[in-house]
Amino acid sequence: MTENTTLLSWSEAQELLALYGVVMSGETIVKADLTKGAEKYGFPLVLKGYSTFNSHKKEQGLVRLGLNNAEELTGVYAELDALMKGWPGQNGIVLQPTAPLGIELVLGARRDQTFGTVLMFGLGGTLVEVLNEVVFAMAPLDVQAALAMLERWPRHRLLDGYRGWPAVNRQELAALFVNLGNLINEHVEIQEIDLNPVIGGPDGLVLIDVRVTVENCT
Amino acid sequence: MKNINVLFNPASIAVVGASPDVWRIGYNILQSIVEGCFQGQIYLVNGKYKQIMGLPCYSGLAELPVVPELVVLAVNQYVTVEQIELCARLGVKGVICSAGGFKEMGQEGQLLEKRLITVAEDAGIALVGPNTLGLINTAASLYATFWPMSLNRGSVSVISQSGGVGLSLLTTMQDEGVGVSKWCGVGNRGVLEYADYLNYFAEDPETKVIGIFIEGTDKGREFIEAAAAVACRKPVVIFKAGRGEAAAQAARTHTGALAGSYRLYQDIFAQHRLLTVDSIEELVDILKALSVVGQGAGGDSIGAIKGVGLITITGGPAIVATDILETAGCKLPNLTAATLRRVEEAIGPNPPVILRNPLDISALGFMASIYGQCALALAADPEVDALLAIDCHHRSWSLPTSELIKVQAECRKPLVVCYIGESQAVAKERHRLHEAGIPLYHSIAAAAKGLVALKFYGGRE
Repeated sequence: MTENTTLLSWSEAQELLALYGVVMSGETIVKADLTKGAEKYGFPLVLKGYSTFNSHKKEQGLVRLGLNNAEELTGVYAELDALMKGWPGQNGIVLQPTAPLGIELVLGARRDQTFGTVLMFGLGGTLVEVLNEVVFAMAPLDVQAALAMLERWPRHRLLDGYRGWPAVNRQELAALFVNLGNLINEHVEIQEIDLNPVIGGPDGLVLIDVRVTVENCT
Repeated sequence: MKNINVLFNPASIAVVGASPDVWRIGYNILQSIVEGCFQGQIYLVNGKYKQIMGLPCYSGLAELPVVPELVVLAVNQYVTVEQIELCARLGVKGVICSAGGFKEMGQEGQLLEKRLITVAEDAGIALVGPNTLGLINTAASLYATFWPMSLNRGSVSVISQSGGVGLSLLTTMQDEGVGVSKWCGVGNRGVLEYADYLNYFAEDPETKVIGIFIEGTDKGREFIEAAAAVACRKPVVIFKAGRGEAAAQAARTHTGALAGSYRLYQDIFAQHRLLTVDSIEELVDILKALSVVGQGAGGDSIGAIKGVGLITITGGPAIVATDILETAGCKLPNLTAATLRRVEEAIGPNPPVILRNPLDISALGFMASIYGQCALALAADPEVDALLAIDCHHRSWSLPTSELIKVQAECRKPLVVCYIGESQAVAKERHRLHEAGIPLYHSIAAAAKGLVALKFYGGRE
């Protein structure tokens, strides 16, 4: 993020993505709706503070996993609320169901100086920076081109399932890239969309976290 | 086509800044054009002289008896900008700007370049450079560079961001017996971009294969889209340099271009099914295969290649070659019973070799006639779409060149030959084989990569 760009809030990002059929896990929630939310998603739950001011959530203790009952839920909600009090930017608290186990993937879209809109795919999680095994493609893509992009990924065999991880549905993943490509192509103000991680679970892809960087309107 | 054809096929040329001083670019451009035997009119412009090399010298472009179609500017960046304004007024269609000192040199240079571009674009001038060695069209005997040379004519056209790398490409092609059609140093690409040259070469009937050296461009998308479109019709082979930070910096000061992420380039080339290489030598190896194959008997276009046949008289090179072929997805199919029978007929019953593909006929293949019969049997196999033939130059024995030319004439399948030996020793063989549409290599890996390139672009049309 630079001086000329801003992060969208969670709900802004979620709404924008939803317009293109890209569905994030969970939703932002206010205190009064916690019970309703818990009934909707079921325990154990996750709460996270999402701030356009601070993008390193984990380090700041803003991601709280494994909340098993209403008491823990309201307690953690209050903690996050207090923690983020007075922070600049747009802040919200997101309620999510606990993510399934599966392969952690990262999907990205950005506006490149040389190539215009570009899509990126790779392994998510902590090793991603060392492994640096990502694949790029110029956007937008049709389904065939998106599938071809997945096959060009050096570690594409991981998508077939590995050591207990479920196989990733390539069609679903390709469709996600098609939508992401269309989204960034049709919204010139967007500089970058980062979906990290996306978990390839037994029931399909689960989009856990998002960052959408937009150019400031002047 | 933005007047590009005038650049490569001008009826007349004026050299502005022509000079009798051998250390000046204005001398060398003139020498290059004159000694290259350009057939059109040549005009010299320099107010200081009456005559250079026995040719009359004019005081200015406006003083020439005609408006020249192509103007080569061998003057500094400031005079270049003045002259382009004059060219615009006179109605000149094509200009080559040799001078550096433009956008690669900071803010003042950027302003000069902007002026240059605006004037050229408003007047519809096809402008090469600035900051360029120039261009060559062998078919028109046009050598409009300040590096005089003479080249073998051929069907490869080259677009190079760098004069030096472009020069290295030309000399390597010359050494390897690969003929040139057109060559252009694009320099700073003020007006004409890669895409413009690519689209021109796509339509150019004399260009069969296109080689590109690129450091970087800020119009990457335009470049890729043009290259991808052209590659459906003619093979395009790309050498992208500038992997690291230091290289990116060098590229910026060289032609003022963003090198961009190397990785991004590579992935996007792959996305668009464009063939890339990692060195000048590899680029020439691949241009050789793609331009030589099919230029002989009948000029066949390259068909789809699934199975490759490999014949050798020594086992190791076959392993080296097979590694490269298999990695690139070339299959070495089993030979049919009929093929094996033909091989056995050639080498006699109960041969001391294993009859399979790759076929190592060992000492039995020292005789060129037997080698030729076996190669023909292999090439005729229905599972074999292309043949790689490996042999070694020997002081006392003849190579199976005539035999392989016959194989090619009979089977009409792409044939790539590797003669292990010194370059000089097989120079004559190279000439004969290339004439017959058979690329010759001394390097085993280069031969295998040449075949891989044929597979890459084979069967696209």
